[in-house]
Amino acid sequence: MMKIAVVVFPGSNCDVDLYEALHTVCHVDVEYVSHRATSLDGFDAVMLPGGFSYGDYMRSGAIARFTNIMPAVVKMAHAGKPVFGTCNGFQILTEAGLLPGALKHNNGQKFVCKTVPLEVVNNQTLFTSEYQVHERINLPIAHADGCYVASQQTLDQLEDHHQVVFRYADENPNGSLRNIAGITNEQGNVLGMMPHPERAVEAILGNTDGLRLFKSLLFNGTVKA
Amino acid sequence: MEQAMTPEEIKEQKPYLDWSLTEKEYNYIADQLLGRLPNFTETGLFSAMWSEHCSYKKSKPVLRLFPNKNARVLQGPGEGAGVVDIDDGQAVVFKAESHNHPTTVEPYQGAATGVGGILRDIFSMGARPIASLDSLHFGELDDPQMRMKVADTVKGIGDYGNCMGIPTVAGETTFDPCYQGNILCNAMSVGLMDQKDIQKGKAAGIGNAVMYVGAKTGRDGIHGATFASADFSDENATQRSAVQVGDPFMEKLLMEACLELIHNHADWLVGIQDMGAAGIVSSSAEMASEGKSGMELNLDLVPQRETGMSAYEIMLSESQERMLLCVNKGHEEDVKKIFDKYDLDAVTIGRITEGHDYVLHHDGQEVCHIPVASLTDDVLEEASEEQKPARLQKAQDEPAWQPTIDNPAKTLRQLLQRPTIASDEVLTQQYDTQVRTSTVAGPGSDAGIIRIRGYHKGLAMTTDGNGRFVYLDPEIGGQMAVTEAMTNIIASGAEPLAITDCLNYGDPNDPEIFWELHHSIQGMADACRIFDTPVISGNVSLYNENNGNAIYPTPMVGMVGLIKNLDHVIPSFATHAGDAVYLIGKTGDDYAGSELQKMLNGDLSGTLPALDLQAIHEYCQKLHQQMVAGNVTAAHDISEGGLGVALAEMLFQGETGMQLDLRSLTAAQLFSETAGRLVVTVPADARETFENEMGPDAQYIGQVTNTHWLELHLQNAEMNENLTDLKKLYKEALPCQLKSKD
Amino acid sequence: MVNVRVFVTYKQSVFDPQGDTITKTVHTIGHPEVESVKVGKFFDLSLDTMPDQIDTVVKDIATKLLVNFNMETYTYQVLGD
Repeated sequence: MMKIAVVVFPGSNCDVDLYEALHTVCHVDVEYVSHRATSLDGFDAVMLPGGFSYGDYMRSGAIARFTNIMPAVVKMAHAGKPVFGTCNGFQILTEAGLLPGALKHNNGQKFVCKTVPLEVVNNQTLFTSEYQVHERINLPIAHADGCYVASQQTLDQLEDHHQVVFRYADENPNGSLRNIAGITNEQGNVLGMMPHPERAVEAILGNTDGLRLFKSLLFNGTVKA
Repeated sequence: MEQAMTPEEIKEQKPYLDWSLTEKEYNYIADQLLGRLPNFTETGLFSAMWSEHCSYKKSKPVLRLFPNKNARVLQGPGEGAGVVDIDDGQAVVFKAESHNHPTTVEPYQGAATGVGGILRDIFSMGARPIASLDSLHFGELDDPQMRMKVADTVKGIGDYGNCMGIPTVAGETTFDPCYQGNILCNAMSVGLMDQKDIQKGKAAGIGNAVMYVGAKTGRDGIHGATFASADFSDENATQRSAVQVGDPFMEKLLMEACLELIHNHADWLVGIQDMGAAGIVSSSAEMASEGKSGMELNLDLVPQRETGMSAYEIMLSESQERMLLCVNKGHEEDVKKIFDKYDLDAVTIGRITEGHDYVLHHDGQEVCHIPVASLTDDVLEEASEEQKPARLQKAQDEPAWQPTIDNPAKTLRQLLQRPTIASDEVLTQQYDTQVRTSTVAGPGSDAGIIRIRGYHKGLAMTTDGNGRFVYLDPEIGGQMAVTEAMTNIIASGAEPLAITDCLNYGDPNDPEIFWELHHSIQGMADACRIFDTPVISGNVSLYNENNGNAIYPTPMVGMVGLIKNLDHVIPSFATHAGDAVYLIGKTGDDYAGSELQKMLNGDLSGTLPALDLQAIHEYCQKLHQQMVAGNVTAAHDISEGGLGVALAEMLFQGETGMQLDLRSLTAAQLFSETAGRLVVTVPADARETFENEMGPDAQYIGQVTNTHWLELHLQNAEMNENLTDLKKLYKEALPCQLKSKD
Repeated sequence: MVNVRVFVTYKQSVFDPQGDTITKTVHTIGHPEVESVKVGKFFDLSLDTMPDQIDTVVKDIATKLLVNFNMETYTYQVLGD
């Protein structure tokens, strides 16, 4: 059985949603870990939730990256353990250098909350093995700074190494280059994505397309262990 | 620090008149309450605490008309927010508050701090906010300034609520010229708590500490009223500003710290209250008054952002994200440790004292020494003059306006593009509607629905206000506001619990406006009694005028309902082909105040028919029983734009249509706005039971079809409209009108 | 062509939550000598106008659009061609 850490930064607000998706829906052993903690020993995976760490002041994720917990997150990433960031968590992972590129203000200059269609581009990852490749799923987005940008060279590398995991299908809600919605690092153990799979795990809320992301991770984590 | 004026100079020069204290009140304070002349600081405290905003001195006599108790009400008006029992030892806490003036002056910060203030009211009660709602009333969009104000207001609400991680799940937005110079921005917050955690704004126990927590104090919001009327160009040059800037990040930390303290260490805490209007003075004086205590504060200990602040400025500052606590002696350090964890200031600024005096020290001097009650309880209630507005008499003498509708399809298309009716998705998409992963129904539905984790139950919530009807007939308009909220709650499958309100009016010193206030409250109170939805909290916003033109009297009703079993949630959208369609409630020739009248005439006129509230209540109860029995698949309340718009809206999510026999209605009646009506759909096999139980209150009008067309057969016209086309008009109207046209 | 940079900042008495939060972080990354950080924004305008008209033009744009005098103020700098 995996044990997963959900990091709580000052201003995180999807921490509860991630926790409930893992604990109540997936029945996983999950614990909140404060940004003040310095170790993630004993955890098999770590997740950085959405929200507005430090109010998104200066740049989304730029201040959270200096918190005490981050060296432990980097250590886990380097050890090849699963590291997952959604929304603000994705922004923190890019600011911390664990994922390439950056997330800038949406092209529309507004916060956007809606459910958007995505294409699963790569299902050969720890996080997406329960999806079909090229499958279309719907996931909620809710962000103001979700426009993924990187240099041409980086973008080409991402594509060459199959690091683009999710792409916006139909419409691009924020102007992300090459419609990128989620990427992994080259090793494939760090996933960052703007959409919120944890908001789509219960039928009562009208959408369960996010559930298989967590199921993939649990299946792969358990097999490995 | 020297006081700016001596007591004698105050008596001579009467600066208090600018702070809205009358000469009569000043003399009463000096002669009857203190037996001496108040000093500068004291005079400032009195003018703030005796303002309408803090004392409700004008509106109190009419507010007493509201019912505010029933078996479920645990806390009525008077605390931060009202509290209602929702079974299982849980309670729902809610309140609405207006931030009209700040939003008119600075839409972004005004709206943002409005949300911040109402959230503090909720978590100061010990509840965790679980949803926000708004009620926004703007001027017309042909004014480019107004388009900018709409954008900024919505961004302000979104940025604050989104950052706090509280979903904004419902609300309303209307546009009328009367709000051109005075926007209405009303925000409502709903919180959830265990009944054992209820907190009060109370300070008691001699020697106990008065602790200040949260953001530092600056000169924000001092003299808000005089500032706003000051000459704009002069203001450009100064370095001073009265605009309050919100910090949702700070508020998020403050909320978590306060809830940790309340939930884990209630024994350390005597009371807690938000520092809202009139900041430290109102929170501390009200808490001392509630605890029947004396209080002594040292203002030098108040955390300050600016230097050289006077006692007057420190006490009246409306800096945001601050709370006042009364903490049991000996636990000051424990409390400080909790707030330290969140990087927040927590400072003991005074103590509870023997007796009933309110004493302030600043810079080594005693700057205030008065009885607590003189600030909170001794306010002179003044009977207001009232007079029935002349326009109401005139309207009765004129014949009713009767529209001629030759082409109902064309009228429907036009109505769907009216900014008040058209989809406001372009605005609500800027709100996080799903954070906390409990939103069962969000914007676009009749009511927002939030499930309660750990149970199979939920809460439905809505805000409704329609100044147009209240303008034409305050009493019936007031009844209609509550009725619309009630039908929205019923439509979602919930049982109505209680209401909160924001009472937005013009200058109450105008006898006609006071009459509107009085009679609309009477109307709301009548409806609340019959629907058994007491008023548990609320706020009054008067003086909503611009250049002497008052807004429509606009009471906003925020209602919350309980869904005991989430299986009984009813969607607002008809998606099952083959279901039968019923019209609930009678339709009349009710065009006065309707969107149709505004569209065709550009102006409102006429009288409103009396509402049979008892009959509406009874058939809504019967309808609810049918919903619980599983005999209803969709329901939508009929409001702006009448039945025609309601039918189209019900079909905008999905691929179905409707084929309806409406030969009992004229083409014009398709757009009549008779109150208390709903459209519902019923599965074929439940029709018999449904009809037997509902009787003549439900009229069978046709079927849901599997083509995406709306086909209507009216008395004097036929129409068959493609719903894809209608939806396009409905969705694109507001984005288009919000875009700059030059 | 003249290039003008318009700086817009909060008035001194207005609370700058962003600046406050950044200040704290500057301290945590090892710069306690920084007393405070204030956040503002700047706008670069390229103007095709006579030098004696710059002040009037900038003032008009700032007043109508760039600055909300309820809480902000501005200065500007002529950057040259």
